[in-house]
Amino acid sequence: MKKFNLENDPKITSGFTIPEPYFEQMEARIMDRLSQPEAKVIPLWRRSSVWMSSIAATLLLAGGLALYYNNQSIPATSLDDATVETYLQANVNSYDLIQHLDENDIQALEKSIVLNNDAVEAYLSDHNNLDLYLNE
Amino acid sequence: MNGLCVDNHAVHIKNYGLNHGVLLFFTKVRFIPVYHFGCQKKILPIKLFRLSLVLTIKTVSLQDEALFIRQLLDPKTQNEAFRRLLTEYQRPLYRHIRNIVLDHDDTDDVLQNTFIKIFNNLKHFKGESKLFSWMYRIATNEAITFINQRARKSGISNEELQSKAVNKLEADVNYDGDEIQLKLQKAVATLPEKQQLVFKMKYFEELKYEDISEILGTSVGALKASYHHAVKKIEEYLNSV
Repeated sequence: MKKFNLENDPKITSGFTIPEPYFEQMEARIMDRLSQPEAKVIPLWRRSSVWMSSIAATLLLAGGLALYYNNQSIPATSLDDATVETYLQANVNSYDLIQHLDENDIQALEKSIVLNNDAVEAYLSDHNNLDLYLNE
Repeated sequence: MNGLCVDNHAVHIKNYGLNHGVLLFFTKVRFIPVYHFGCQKKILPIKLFRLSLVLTIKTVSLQDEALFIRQLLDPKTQNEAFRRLLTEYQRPLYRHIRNIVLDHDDTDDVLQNTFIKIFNNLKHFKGESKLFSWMYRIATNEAITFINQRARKSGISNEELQSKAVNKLEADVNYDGDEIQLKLQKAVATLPEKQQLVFKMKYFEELKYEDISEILGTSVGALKASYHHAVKKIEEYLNSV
């Protein structure tokens, strides 16, 4: 069988065919497409501009500062015991205090308050409303 | 002694024989016994005459190309000039793209995109290469991009995609190649991408190495080597199967 020699053999063409009116219609199609305004593609995510970045940075800073000041607690050393006691006496009544005390709190208080019997007898003789202290 | 008289009357001749549709503007010639060049009457040897004719053609061709580009950029003459460009280049560019993507409908898509891109980028054409080379470069890039995108979407390599496209040719209504033509297409599809391109442009489209060099940005020497390797591999394939 004869060997192929592309350089010397007759040209082998590609074999492609083209539909008949293709080129007649091509010009009209291209000119028509060029006459239509190109649809502008607006990306969903724009590259951040300086303006957008500034607004975002400002909001972030404001939010951060607000959080910071809200979370800041008053140091305990700024208020002394006398001030706290005065506030409680003025604004909180004994009944409210008792409602918030449970058994453990009362036992803790009894341990912390040192009272001898003489002091108790002296207090009771000064205050005549013994009924208040008697259980029914 | 025979010579040629060259006068200043330019005649537009379309040269389809060169397969790249380049417009060549020849000056009108008449045979007379005495050779004229420009305003001077001289008798020159035929070799020098041929050189002067080539230089004249090239000079006229470049000047006309510059004028054509100005017409393409001028809004008043743009539409008419672009229609002429379409008429002149749609066939050669179609052939070029079809050789790459193989399918007619795909070629149609790529060709349209190519002309749209040419139209939109004319203002950026600096004249560093011929208009024809610039357009062919756009067409080549559009065709390769098309293949890359389709391969990516299909999740296969470019080589696999091309192999599939070649195997579909036999059943394609827009292909009437015989056994040898189909075998040649299959042989070409086995080559590396760049080598395929060089072979197709040289063998099927019969472009000159200098033109291929301008289009692909590869040296003439490298192109010649690439083409000869391609021919050798194709002949091995054709002679083995």
